[in-house]
Amino acid sequence: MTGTTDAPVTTDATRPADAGGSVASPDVPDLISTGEVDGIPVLHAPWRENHVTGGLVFRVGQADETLATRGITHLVEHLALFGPDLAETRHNGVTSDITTVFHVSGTLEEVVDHLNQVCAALRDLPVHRIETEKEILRTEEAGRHGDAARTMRIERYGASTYGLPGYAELGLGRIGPSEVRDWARSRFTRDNAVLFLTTDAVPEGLDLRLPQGRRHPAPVPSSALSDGTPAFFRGAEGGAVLDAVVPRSAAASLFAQVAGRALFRDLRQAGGYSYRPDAEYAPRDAHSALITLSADALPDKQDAVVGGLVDTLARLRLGTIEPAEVEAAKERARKTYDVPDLGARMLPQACVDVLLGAPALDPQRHLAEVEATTVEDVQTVAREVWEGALLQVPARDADWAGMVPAPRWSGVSVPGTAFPAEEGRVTLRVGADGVSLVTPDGPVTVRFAETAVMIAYADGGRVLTGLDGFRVAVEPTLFRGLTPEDVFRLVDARVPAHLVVPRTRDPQRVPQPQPQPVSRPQPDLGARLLRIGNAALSVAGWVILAFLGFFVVTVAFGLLEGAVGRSLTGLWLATMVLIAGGVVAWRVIRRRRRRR
Amino acid sequence: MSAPTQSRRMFDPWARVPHLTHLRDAAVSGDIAGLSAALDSLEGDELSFAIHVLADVDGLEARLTSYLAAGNEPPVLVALLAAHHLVEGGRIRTAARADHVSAAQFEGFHARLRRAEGLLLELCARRGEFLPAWEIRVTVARGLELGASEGRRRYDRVRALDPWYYPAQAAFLQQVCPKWGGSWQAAHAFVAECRDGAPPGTLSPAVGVDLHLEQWVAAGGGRSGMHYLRQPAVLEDLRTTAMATVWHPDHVPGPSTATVHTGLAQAFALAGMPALAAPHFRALGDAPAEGSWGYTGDAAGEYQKYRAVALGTEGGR
Repeated sequence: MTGTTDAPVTTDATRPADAGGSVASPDVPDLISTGEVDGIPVLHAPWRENHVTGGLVFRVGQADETLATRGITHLVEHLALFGPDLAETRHNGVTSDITTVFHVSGTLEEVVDHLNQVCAALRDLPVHRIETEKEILRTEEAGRHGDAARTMRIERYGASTYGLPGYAELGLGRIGPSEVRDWARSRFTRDNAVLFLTTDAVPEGLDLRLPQGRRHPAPVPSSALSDGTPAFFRGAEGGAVLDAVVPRSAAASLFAQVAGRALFRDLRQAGGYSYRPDAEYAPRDAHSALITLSADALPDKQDAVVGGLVDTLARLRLGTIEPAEVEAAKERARKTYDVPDLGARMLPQACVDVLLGAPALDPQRHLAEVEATTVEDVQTVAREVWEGALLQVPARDADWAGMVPAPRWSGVSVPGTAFPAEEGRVTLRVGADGVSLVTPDGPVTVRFAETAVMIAYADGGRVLTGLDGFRVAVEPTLFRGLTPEDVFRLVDARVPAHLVVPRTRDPQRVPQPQPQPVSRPQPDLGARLLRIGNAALSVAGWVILAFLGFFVVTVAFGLLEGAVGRSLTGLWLATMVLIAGGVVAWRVIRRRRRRR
Repeated sequence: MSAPTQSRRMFDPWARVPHLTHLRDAAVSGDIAGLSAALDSLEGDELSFAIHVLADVDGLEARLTSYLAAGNEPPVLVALLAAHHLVEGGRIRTAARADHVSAAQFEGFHARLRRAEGLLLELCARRGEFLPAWEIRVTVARGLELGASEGRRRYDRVRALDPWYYPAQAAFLQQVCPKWGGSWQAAHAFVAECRDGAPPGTLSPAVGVDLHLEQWVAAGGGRSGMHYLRQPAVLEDLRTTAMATVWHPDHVPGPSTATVHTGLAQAFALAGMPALAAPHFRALGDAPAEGSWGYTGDAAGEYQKYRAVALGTEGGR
């Protein structure tokens, strides 16, 4: 399926704080007309294209789910699109953070017909298709990579609200027909929807009957940055990303423009450290927007990219922003509105704003705000960005820049029965309140009352993820004295059934204790590597196996063991690879403790 | 007299800049405003040198901190306080090899460097054209192990302001040497970059002398080190460098002139070429620079020993 060609306007204006949007008469700019069909507000504006584009927008998205229902909105979207079979139309469904949109382009009749079919499907979901659609979704999911943006979400928000889109669609493993129907009935309602059409008038023939419901406000953001900001964590190789949530404003969108150009000049033109530095502004909800500064880098340049990014932002918040920099950003903002069919182009974002209860973007008002924005206003945004910043670095720490590490360990461990690890100085504690992995460097705890999801393998292995994103693997094969019966009695009995995702796995994937390497890296690997390596040696050997995400390392070890036999060179090689694997895994654990 | 005390006295940096001793007096007496004004009249090598030397003045930290806290933030004093943190950090770490430095010492060292970096990050954000701040940040990047490319980026900022600035080049050379994760190839490439197009008489080419001394150390010093330095190509390079820098008629002597003379004197002396070392020892006179003389032990003792031999070849003084 192909998406439509709509290009939503992404610049922004200041929003008043009240969220009292009326369904009957949405507050939209003059360029957009309004109507209503079957209780659903309709926003429409003409355009010169010879086809019609429509979009039915619901105020529900991934951030409204829980980790245990993760994927349910996407599943509803897929089920709703099962019926329509119009080869001539271009249609698509898009499930985002807080909205789900059904797009369609074609003749007016085709668009009307498609929208009617979507609503008919939503009224009576083809739940018999659930298992098939789940498979399709799993395939779709497998094609998505754990990119930097997803990691940023988990680090900032944890395993709820806006952090959820960072996770895989875990809920697909447990949700059934009734839960899917209930979700559709509560969220895909006429009171939680707005329709847009690129037409002069509301067409005849629409049948958009949907259940009555209520308008759902945007989720209240959670936070996993309990030690404050600006914060950093170690993420994927390949560049640096810094983001921050700021109030939606013209100044903030101008700041992103100014920052983008400054990064381009400092990181690409000046030293060629980065190929594609960038800055983005994206509204998150009615009041807040996410600003993201990013810069890709080759491995041998990534330290410079981190330093350059920090320095560029420091210049913008503390140093001199030239008036010409702001003027260039303003010019670009002006051009955003100097396009044909502006009203039609604004429709998608206007629908979102109506659903959020925010007055939709008004070009005149926004341009007035752009013109009134001063250099000082932009600098104020730069300071806000720094104060709320989360920086993902590819290697090393960023404490030198005055940032705190994002939490790497839970504050406390729970009391309970202790099960020492078969290898390494680590203990699993299972208590009445939760489970803790106690390592020499700190504990990782998931409380039963704050569990987001528990994956339950048929072989007795369990992986619990807390709402804060921390994870603990309870694997009978890895802890002395821990039996599958203990797991049933001490863990399963305390985790609510609706949070449990059952799974099976290949017996070869059941983690086994691995002997720890005994030799140490050669000094010429560098002091830094040695330090990380030593830390890795103490715990990572088994932690690698305790975290399911690191099966690649495990497989590599297995292959090596078979391949190199017991020759001295082989042992040495295996040890070095093991250490390197430990270093990598240790860094991954530290930076991505919350991988799905 | 202990060896370190003797070294401090012998290599007293103030002796190299007798016309700047009023700066020391201002620092010692706590006249920070006077110090600030006096520093403002300096530039280039002289300013950089003054900051490094003042950073070692006892009791300056508290006075500087309270002066800066009162809302006065002249860039030169911020840089001075940062340089002071480097000096203090170095005292905690000591000059010992990394495997003889305890974790607590490293933590103390890094804590001081982070304080320096915090000051310099903001200073460079406000005054990106203030070269001494970038020069110190080159050294901080190495001490905090921020990575070779970050060290290079900082040196690039220096280079954009002055492509032939020897003190920063000498600082960055350390980063590209094998002991800091670089390679001889990278180090030689950097030296070539510092020489290519350098205006006659600037000290920029002399970074090659520092590299020869690094290779002498890596060769194990002593006889094997001497073997390295005695290679005709190396000796020729040292001679050419001396002619292009400190002996060039266009050379304007400054505080770093002594640094280069002492490097050349040491390289020739260790190569067993006392006659070639002699003119550099003589140029240093009563105000020698310590340079790398400490590599082989007691800097003052080594200096005096080789100087005596070198000048002895000319019939003594």
